[in-house]
Amino acid sequence: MSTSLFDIVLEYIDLIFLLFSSILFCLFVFMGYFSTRSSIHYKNKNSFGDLSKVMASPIAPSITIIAPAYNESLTIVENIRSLLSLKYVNYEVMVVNDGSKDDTLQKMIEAYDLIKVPREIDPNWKSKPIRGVYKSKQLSFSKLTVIDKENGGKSDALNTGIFLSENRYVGCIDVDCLLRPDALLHVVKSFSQRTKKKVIAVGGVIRVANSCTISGGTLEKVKLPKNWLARFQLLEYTRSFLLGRMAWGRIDSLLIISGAFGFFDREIAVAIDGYDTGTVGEDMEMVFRMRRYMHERKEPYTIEYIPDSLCWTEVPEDLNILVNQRDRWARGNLETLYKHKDMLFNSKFGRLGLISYPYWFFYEWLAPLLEFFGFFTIIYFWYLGIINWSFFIALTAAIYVFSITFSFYAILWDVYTYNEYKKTKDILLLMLCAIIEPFVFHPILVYSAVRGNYKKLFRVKSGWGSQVRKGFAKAA
Amino acid sequence: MNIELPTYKILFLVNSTTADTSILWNLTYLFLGLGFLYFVFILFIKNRLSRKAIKTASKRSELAPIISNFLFHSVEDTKDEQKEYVQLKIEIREYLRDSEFRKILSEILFDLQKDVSGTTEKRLFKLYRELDLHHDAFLKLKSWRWEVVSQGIIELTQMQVSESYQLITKFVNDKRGTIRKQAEIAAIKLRNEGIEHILDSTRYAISEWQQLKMIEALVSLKNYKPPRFKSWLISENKDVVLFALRLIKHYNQNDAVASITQLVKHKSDQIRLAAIQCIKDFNFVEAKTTLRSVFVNCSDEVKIQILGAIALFGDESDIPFLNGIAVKESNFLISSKARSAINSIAPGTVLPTKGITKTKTSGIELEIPLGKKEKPAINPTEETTTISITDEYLEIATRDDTEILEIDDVELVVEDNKEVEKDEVISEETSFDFEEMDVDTNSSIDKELGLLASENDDLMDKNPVVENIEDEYVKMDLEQKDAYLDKIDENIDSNQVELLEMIMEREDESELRFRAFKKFKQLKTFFPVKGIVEKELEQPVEESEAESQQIVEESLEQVIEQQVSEIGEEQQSVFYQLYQKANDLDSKLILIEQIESIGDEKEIVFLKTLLDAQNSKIVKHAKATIAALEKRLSGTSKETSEIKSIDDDAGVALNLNPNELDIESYEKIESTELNISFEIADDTENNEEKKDNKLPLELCFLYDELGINASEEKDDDFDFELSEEFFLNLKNQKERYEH
Repeated sequence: MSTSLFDIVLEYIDLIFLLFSSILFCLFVFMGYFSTRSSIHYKNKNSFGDLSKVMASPIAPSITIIAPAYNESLTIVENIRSLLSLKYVNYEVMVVNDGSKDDTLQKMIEAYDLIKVPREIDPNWKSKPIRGVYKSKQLSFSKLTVIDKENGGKSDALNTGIFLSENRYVGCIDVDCLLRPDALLHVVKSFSQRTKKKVIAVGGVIRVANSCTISGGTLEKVKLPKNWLARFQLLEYTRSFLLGRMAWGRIDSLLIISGAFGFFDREIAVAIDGYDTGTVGEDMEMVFRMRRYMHERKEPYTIEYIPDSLCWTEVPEDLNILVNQRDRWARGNLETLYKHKDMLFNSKFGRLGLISYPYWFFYEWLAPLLEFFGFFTIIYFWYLGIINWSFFIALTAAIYVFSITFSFYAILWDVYTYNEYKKTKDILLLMLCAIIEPFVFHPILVYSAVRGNYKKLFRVKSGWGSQVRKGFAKAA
Repeated sequence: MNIELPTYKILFLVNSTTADTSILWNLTYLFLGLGFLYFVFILFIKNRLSRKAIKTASKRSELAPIISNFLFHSVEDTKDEQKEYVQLKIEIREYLRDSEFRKILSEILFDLQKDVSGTTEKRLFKLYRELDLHHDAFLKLKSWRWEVVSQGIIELTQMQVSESYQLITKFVNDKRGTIRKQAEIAAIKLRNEGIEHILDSTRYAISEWQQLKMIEALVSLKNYKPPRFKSWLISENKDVVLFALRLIKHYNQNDAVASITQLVKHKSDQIRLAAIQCIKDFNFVEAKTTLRSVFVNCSDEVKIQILGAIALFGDESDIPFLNGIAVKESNFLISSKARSAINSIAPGTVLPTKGITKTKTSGIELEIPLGKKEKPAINPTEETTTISITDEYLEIATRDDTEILEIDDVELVVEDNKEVEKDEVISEETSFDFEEMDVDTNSSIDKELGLLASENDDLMDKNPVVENIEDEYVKMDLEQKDAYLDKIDENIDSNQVELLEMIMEREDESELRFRAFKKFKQLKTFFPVKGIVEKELEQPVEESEAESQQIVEESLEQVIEQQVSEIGEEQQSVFYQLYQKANDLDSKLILIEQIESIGDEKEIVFLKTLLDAQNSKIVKHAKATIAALEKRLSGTSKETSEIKSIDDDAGVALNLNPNELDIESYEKIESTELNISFEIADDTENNEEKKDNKLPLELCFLYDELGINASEEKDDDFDFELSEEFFLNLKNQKERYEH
């Protein structure tokens, strides 16, 4: 009987994997469906009108773009120039120098003719002390404000900007991100087009700028990255932003807004005390808290998501940097999920507690761990001779083919809606990436996620890691 | 051991759930098929998009000359051209039977419309109708698909098909949002009364974005006379009210004081904010009482706006109200705004308390009869707030004589009447009794506290701490001094203010002197005069401030005089500074060349110093420029004399301190108001002397601080005029003299 009981246990394991995979298939199919509907609706709705006409409106709401800078002396001047050239009437660029050890501040002072200006600071200031607030003497740079503060990390720098800003909306971006000139118009439209719900945050697609031609701070030609690691990430981003987040946005359950391009209602951001400086997944954590805050006040709200290609950034082309980045994301994920664990299957939070949170828990956090341990378990079972080969091969084949199909679907929508990559060769290369990704790129992500979780669970001290930017020739 | 019956059934059930791999294989085939389908779709869509783009481009290039011919056709054209035009008309009629052609033609016309205006635009509209393309747009209005209807509305609007107005306005209350929004814009663009129709009839909310677009549509109308939008302030649709407020502001319709004031009490924050914005813009002083009365129950954002409005048109009677907020409000932004408002109404009333240190003298008594003798007893039933010196302060006052007192957070503390409930609403009577105290009483208290300078002596000068700092400073080398000045920026206290004064007076290095002056000037709002804490305690606010102002002005005068007298003649050339900052040889040479066309005697002196330069090119250029400049200056002696005369006036404008101007001069200047034009002074000697005092570049910043601005009129040699603030200062001086 003990053998039969063991067989039953093994069958149970098969069953659990089958169930897990089936739910995964269903979720992704729904995701595909919602994102398709959302994309079509968005495309139709935004095919009318000319945003640029509103750009100089006297009642255009005010926005502050907060860009934290740490040791960015090589690119800071050009990056700011790019930010200052956005098409919008009522905005401020606030660069927060987070105690850079290089001459980032000096470069800014010289390039933009900055002088220190007096600024009253809240006596209960929570972020790291501010050394000075700088404004330009030149009228042409009047939109620029530079805050020099002691080093406190990205979240602390962003908080500084949020608390010092006096505008209605704040945008938190990476200083090396390239925004499309009409990006702010899209953001403002998203914030102000609703009448029944308050839009508390707006997120957008992050596009991969590696190998693209950029001139004078604007994107001139979109090209497929030459580096294979960057290509895999491009495919991953396309899948995640055009299908995943679009679908979550459709059912108003978006739980993450990318730190590279996120805009918030300042009032709400201040009410929740800004970013949590104690986590490395501050972008996701902030959205959790904002949602929680609005839920608790029972105020109608939503988070908008813009699928247009507004923000372009450089992704890591180096394996170590990529692993560090994903390790950090995994830690941030775990920290946030743990901090808000009371939301899991909590009907009080509606779809947030019943759909979004469980999805993130099981399929964003748990799935890589299951994959990792599953891999070793299969080897072990094979060694013991108890592996159910027919089931294993069938399940693996189904998942593999599904992943390729889903990637193809993402590419199809990218071509249909935005068609950024004009060459057919580029599209074929992306499809090739989709076919080989599960064997080449995916294991790297699984390893990084396991490493991040290990570090977090066993309290291995780890920070943000760093990314050496090649710089996508903004100054060209 | 056998597990028998009790669990048998369950085990059977569990056993029967063995995963069926055939389902998985079926799924695999399904996904494989889908994947292949997507692959084909991707390639198909990609090709279709490319083909479409190519086809459209070719059609456009084919149609462009035809459309151009239509648009620019005139009855005055030659016979051949007329013939060609008619031929084209016939040809195009044939093409128009093809719906795809009509679609492309419409697209071309829409694109073209964005780039043309005036008569051409009108011809374009006419052509659109003549080709019956508007019928397609009308057909679109009948579609069940919202995006098609919206497209139809946009096309009719863009081509100004005014007869579509009635049809389109039916969509103003359509349940489909996108159609509704397009209809609203169309109604505005097609007829001038469209906005009135929308405001009257809309039942739906109007989003902020939509309002933005509607205002943009209104702005684009030609010869548009807006209606009086106050009529819609009583609408039941809150978005209509909000939009009306924004329109009122946009069109400066300031005839709705009562309604706008009433809307400050609206439950919607957005409406409140818009109403306050109107009140601020139109300077509705009469709304002040309402603003004050609603303040307590407002959100933080509205509170800040209200304070902004009060700062704009408030008066002395509002100060107690603002004081109350500054003291009681827990939100830093609001309290800060209140303090700022107080200072806007009565400049210099609220002074900085952070980072200020003070020395005390011996013999300080513990007991402080603050406000007890002179002040009437506090009525326990009234809610009052009294500023007093706290126990903490007293405790510090008992320490060693030479110890520096930190009064960061302790010197002005609100002491609520204990019999009044803490959470009570702030009364408008709340006040800083500190300011109201009798001068003598204050003096006695201050003397006891050791905070007040003795009558004939400046306590700060005798302060050993300050003396030590000064000694230390004097011993420093240039770099250390520079670093020390930086440090002052970070943490300013009254001792350092003294030090700054010392640096301004005694420092040999002009750059350091200038930096010290700049810092001193920046602190003007915080430390209007040296030892300001003492004076603040000693005197009533206004008197103290007037004196502060005077001392600042005197200091400025001294600094400027010293700066001018000590700067070398060659440094007085504006090119000196620019030359020093030029990094490379080319820049320097370009600068030297520039001197030739706009330089004068000052530049000759400067150029002569360059003759000793090591670089031969610079020397060569300098020589050539000197020669050319001398030639130009000698050849234009008449013009020079005129410029000299203007320079004399510049002397009046730039060198004279308001204190030095006599009443007559003042009246003379005042009579010219702000567009002052100086008469050429007769005193030639004086002129020469003043002309020599022409400003080096760095002093321009000083004059900027003084409110002396560059004139709008271009002048090669002199371009300053007196600002309004300058005349106000003069006026104050005049009044003082009269007293």
